[in-house]
Amino acid sequence: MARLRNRVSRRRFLRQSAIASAVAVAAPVAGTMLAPSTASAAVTDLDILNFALNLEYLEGEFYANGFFGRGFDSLGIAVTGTGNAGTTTVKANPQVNFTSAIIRNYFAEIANDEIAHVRYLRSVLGNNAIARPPQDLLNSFNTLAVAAGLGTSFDPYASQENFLLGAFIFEDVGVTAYSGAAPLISNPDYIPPAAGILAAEAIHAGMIRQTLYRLNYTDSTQALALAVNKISDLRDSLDGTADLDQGITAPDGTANIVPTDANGICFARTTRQVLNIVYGGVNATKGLFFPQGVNGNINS
Amino acid sequence: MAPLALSGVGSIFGATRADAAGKRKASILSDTDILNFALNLEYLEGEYYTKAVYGTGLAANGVTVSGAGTAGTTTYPATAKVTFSDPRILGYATEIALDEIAHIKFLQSALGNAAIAKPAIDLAGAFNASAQAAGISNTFDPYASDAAFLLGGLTLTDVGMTAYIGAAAFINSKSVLASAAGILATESYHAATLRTNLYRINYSDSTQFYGQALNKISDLRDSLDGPRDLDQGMTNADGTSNILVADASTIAFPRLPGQVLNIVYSKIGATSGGFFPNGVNGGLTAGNPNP
Repeated sequence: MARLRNRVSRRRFLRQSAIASAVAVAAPVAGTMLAPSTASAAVTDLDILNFALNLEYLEGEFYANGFFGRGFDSLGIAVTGTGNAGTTTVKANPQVNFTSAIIRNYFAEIANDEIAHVRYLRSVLGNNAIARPPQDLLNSFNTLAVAAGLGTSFDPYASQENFLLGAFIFEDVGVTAYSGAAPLISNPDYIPPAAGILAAEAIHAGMIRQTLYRLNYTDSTQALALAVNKISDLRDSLDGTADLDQGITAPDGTANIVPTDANGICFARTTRQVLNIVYGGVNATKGLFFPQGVNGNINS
Repeated sequence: MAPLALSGVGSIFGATRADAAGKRKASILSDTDILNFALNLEYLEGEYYTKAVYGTGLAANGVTVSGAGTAGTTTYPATAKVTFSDPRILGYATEIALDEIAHIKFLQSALGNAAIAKPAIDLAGAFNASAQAAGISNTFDPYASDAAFLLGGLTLTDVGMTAYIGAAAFINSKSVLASAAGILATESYHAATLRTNLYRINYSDSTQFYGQALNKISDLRDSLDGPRDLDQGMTNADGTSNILVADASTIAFPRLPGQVLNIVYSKIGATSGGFFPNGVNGGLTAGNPNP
């Protein structure tokens, strides 16, 4: 994994030189993130919220199935709306067997949070809310496992550790998606809740990354960190040429809980980059987690 | 397009940031004021985490602390640095310290000649006073142990997170907003790291000392930032976790600069005190007397 080592080594070097020298870090105010695309003028706040709602439906179903053992339909969570309504494909008996009470508590929190996010976005959107599109939480993970080099299959519900890895796939992406969307919002009254959801997703991502790091720490095989690196590299291979995604450890084993650039800033993704990841293909219009694509105007 | 139903925002801010057509009204705050306000908080966090990890503060670690306004010295906790019993927590603390230093340098670069100097900071008396005011103890040395360090960190980082959420709507420049969103994400990752570790330490402590201490710090912050009761501890009554601080909407909540300053000054409507004995620098310096 030479590329991974070089990337993280460079970042660690930048941090250490930031300590050692008084040279100001070159910091254009735009940072290292992509500027909003010129197409953003045609994107409405409604479109942005619905785009987010697709991702929240996905995360919500993922966590509900793993924690409660059943999905939104069984739990009676409303998923109706505009666009192509679909169901969620998931294995039978997905409830995760947690071996740590603390980790179980974290997922209780996260599962309930994501359901609340779905409800919140739907309440804001009202009649404009999209329906839950068809989702795949079964074949998608197997496809992803092969693409990432994790093996021939992957069941995120098979164990507490697998559930953490499955969560890792989503949470960092959610953070970058909300971060990328913030400057596109037209009505400034929507910025505080958007920032609040961004913070919530980053809290979740921090919980997941920290827990993975802690479990990995005493494992001489570093299995979880290596799996995380493969998922991170896969995301990087889908979202463009910049090498921004990061695993949870530096080469020397020290923690990398926060995926930041040299300015200590978490990077953002455009909607197209996010779709590349959740569709499992560059410039794809559907696939992987959304076999018929997402709903709403931002779908490609 | 008809405005979307968005309850609660108006009541949080007291006034909408949008005009009747849903477009942005001219901000009452300048981006320079907002970034300098943030820089004060980053200096505070930067001193806290850097001294904890390295035993020396920002200036000794190559960070510029000069600039506009009144420069001041930092008073540190009694313990010179944290002797971490858990090397993982030392690792997290190191990562956080490096991130805060990077934030300071980024904000200074973005502000150029307008960047404020580090004001006088008190990390000793302010923690003692906060512990007293919160009803925890007469003194509190945040560097005395891993758990104390985590609690002290949360005293500051929880507030930093809400400050960025609250300031975001007032930012004029889209590119500044993009950077602020990225910094907010980092502060949130930090908060999660600190809270999960303190939650774990507290989980198997029959006295629940740190759980109760954070509840009291949370109540203290609530008593300073206005009538809303939004701040929360890290455990629920049944012992389950509350790593994300939010109401039923599970959206992290914002604080306006005047509310944040009440907290860091440890007094409603103050213009100095608490962690900033001579006040903060820049254009936003006064706590809100009617938060």
